[in-house]
Amino acid sequence: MTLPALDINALMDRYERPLVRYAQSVTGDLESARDVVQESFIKYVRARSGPEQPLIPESSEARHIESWLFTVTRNGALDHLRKFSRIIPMPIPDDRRSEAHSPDEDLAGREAADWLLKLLDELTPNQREVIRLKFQNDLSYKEIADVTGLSATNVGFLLHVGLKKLRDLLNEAPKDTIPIQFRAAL
Amino acid sequence: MNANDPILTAYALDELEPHERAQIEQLLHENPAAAAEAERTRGLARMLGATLANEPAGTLTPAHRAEILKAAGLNAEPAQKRNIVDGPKWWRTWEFGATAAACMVFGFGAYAIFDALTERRPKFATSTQTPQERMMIGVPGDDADSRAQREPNGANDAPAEVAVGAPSAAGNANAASPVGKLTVFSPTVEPRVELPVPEPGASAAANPATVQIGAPVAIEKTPKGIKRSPGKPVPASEPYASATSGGLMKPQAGGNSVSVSSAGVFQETARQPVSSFPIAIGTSSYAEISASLRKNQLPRPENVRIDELLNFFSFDYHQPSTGKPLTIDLEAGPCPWNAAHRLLRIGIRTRVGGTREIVAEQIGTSVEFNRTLVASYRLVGYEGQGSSTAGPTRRSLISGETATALYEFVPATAMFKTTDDFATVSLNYTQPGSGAERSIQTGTRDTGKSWADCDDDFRWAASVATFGMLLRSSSVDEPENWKRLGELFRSSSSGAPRSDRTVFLNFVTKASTIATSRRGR
Repeated sequence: MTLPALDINALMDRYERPLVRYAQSVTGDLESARDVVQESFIKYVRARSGPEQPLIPESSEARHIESWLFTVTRNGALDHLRKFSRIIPMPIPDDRRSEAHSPDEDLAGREAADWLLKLLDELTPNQREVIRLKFQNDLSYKEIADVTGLSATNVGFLLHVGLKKLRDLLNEAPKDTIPIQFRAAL
Repeated sequence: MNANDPILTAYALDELEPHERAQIEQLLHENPAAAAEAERTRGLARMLGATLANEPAGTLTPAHRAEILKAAGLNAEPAQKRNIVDGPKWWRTWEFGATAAACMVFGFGAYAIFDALTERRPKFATSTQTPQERMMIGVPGDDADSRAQREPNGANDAPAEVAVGAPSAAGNANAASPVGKLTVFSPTVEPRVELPVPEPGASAAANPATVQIGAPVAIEKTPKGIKRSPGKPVPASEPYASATSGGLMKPQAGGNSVSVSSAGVFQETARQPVSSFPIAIGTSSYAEISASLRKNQLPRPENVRIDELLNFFSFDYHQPSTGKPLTIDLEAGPCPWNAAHRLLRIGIRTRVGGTREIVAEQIGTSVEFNRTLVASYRLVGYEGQGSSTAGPTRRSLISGETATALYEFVPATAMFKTTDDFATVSLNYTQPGSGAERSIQTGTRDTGKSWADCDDDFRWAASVATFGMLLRSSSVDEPENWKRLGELFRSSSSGAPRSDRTVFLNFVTKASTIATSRRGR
């Protein structure tokens, strides 16, 4: 498979946050997530061919490389987890915020995100993963299938069941603990 | 169709091929329960997208980046030295989206961003523009250079033409307005000061304050240009009179034309003083807009539903008094897209109970406009009849909910001040359990509030509506409009930052980037 050569600085700017966050959701800590993502980009620059092009978002090349980067990052993160699972603890909520600050967050938004992530912990890991890829990274069923190695039908089923479970959890939660953003979704 | 079918989830998440989608829509038409389920899934998806975007995301360190650049055979360059403004477009989108929210948090608003954006773009040159629908957003209190000379436009022989005042920038063209050219107005003036005094003998269309906008206007964009046609008035017997799409032209089957109705349907108060508005409506348009912007595209005009955008947000309306499940909160203020018009904001709030429960059922709404004070009015939003709105309209409200409706109205006199109530809002409902019927009623005067006099909630709602109007208009790529919209939002966010509004401001910034860069091509 050949990869088009897109401007590497542009690619890093565009995808470092989504990829680091995704990797962190697998590895459980920021430092190893960074290492994994660094390795993904290095794999990319080694695999690409042809003269360097500017990055046009939503071009087929960009979408292709996005899926590719998520796939490689996922594999890298799982590898990391396999190697270090005996010494690295499971994700804890504080780890998620660590020193990483999204510029578009505010307190209420962060609290809502924390609350939701706790809720997502109730789901199975693969339900949680497809929900992240779909809603946090805006990948299509097909792209999620490419990244995870599942079939698109399987992805659709996992999302369907995951969302249903999530809604049940929302309905069971005490009303006064639910962030206002979610009340409308009930 | 089974409401628990994964294909329904795929449909709600817009994952189906067109032919599958059409089949499902047909089935949903016959199955309100499944349609409601799809709508709930969309709502949840929207919340997940907005909330998960707030999860902190780490970046690579300079050392990590340097390693990558080394592998690529490039020298490491400090990230902060890269020129943001001259960089590729995607970078600007990314950076500005983030900065907008950051500015909100620190209280600067989006002003600086919009300013920066528009200053890099060519200022709009009206003289070279082809005839098309134009929307100009007025920022109340704007400075003199953008104010317009308001000239009577008496020689208006196009029956459906809405030509209410002429912005000076576009002005002369408008004065000699040929049939087929539409100016959806608006000089940016402080309405109370600038309104011209009606001249005796002037035709109705010449006087912005008494203009009879009885004929709704529909605009059809075609690849060759923009056609416009008079719409049909909505029969008063229909529910939500003035709320339905009487003036809207449906997209042509098989064609790539889209319909835009920015003017909507104005009702003459003399003929139909009473209107009704839905109280519990979907918010799927928000998700559609969000999805489009994430793909770096502007949403299709018919997917922009102002009513749904408004009801996405919660507002700090007055609490109901003890013993009452509902309260009506009214405010009248300036209309940002037409300085000769005013907006009536209707807010309904239910009592916040300890538990989530239905507090009122079978809610019926009505607004009665005073014939002597209001010439005509329209309910803002409800222009589109997108498939996303499939499903029954809910008529109950639960504790803690708010509902919002905006009416745009044309005052019957040049004065935006009334000593009597110009509108009376009534709600009829039954109490859950006992089934007892109750009603509440509230009237309001227009005290002539300026933009600055209105509260944040009014300004936010008016700004959101203006955003929707702009996305639905063909003037969507006018940098000046986005700049002014930025000013509107900036002036609507003086209170504590609220996450739903901060996220929305990102959308606005992103839309402005996409729209104005589209213009540059």
